[in-house]
Amino acid sequence: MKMVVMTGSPRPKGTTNRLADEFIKGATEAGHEVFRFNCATAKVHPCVGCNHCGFGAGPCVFQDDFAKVLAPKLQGADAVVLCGSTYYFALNPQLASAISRFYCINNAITGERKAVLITACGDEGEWITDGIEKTHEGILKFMRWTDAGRVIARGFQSAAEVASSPFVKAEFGTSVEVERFGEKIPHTRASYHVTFLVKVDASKRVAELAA
Amino acid sequence: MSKKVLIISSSPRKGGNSDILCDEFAAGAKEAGNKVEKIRIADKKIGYCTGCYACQKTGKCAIKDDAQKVIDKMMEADVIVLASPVYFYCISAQLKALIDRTVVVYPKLTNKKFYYLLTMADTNRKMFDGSLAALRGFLECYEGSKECGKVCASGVYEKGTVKDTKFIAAARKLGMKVK
Repeated sequence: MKMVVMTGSPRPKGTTNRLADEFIKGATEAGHEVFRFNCATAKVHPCVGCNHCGFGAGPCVFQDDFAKVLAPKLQGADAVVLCGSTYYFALNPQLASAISRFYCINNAITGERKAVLITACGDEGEWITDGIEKTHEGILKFMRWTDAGRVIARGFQSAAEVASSPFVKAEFGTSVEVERFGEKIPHTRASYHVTFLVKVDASKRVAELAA
Repeated sequence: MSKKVLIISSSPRKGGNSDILCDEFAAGAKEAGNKVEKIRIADKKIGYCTGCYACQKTGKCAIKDDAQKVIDKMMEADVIVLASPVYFYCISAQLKALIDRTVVVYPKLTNKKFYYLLTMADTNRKMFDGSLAALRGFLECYEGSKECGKVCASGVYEKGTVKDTKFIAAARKLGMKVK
């Protein structure tokens, strides 16, 4: 499967990018072809709603890295992995900016694709990423993409914390209990929601769903 | 008593639908005797927070652009109006960029009253949820923040179409509520 991983985190060694690294490792091992696009360092202008493209009928006014590098890859992708940091309970704008540009290639990328959401945040409340998931669900519906899994890592301030957590070997699709500050917090969500994991082999889940 | 009202319009389109709602809200708030200022993010240069946390050590952001000036105005305001088009089921990246940059004053942006003005092409009003969650998440981070009202205009797409809807009157009425 051809996968495009769009990362939004500006910190190369941050938690979200660490999760992206692991996802890519897993996906590559499983034989998938992965293209990684760093929205935080690439030149990507947010959509300005000028509709010059006519909702994807013609070229965008911004001929930047999105148009020249990412767009052709998205067109040929079987799976799109949206991997962004949770800042102030919503996606960071580096990723949101690139997502807003889906508009200018809409016709070429709607339908017949799997989508994965990966995000991490320092806070550990169950509802912290609800907004991001709602946004993601809207994107899935609008783009007619299939939800192929979500990796939601809450309660980690640093990649080192994630790496040293007891959840590095968590299987995709399991729910786990995390002990922090002497309190046991259950993290159970819908069956394919993964709460804490680093050794994610989410690609296997994607492959399963694709089969 | 007259309040200091800051309207932050994040529509990249001047005279775009959420921008129009800002003007209606402003007219209402002025009529009610408040001091109103509107800022368009498209006229400012606001870079993305890089999570470097330099601000927590120095009290200043490492990025030199217009964000600090806008954040200063937010600190001075009694009422902050956040206006955005819904792009891919979230607020605009342009508004989110400003929200993230408020980390420079965290946790001091306290006791503000907030209003939301949102516009969306989709007619399914449930699709506002992602954007509302983003705005409410921002308020959650600052003590004493209060959501006082909102206008969520669905089914508006082409520039200016909001003019023919009930949302115009709703935005003006909401502005008049500010006291």
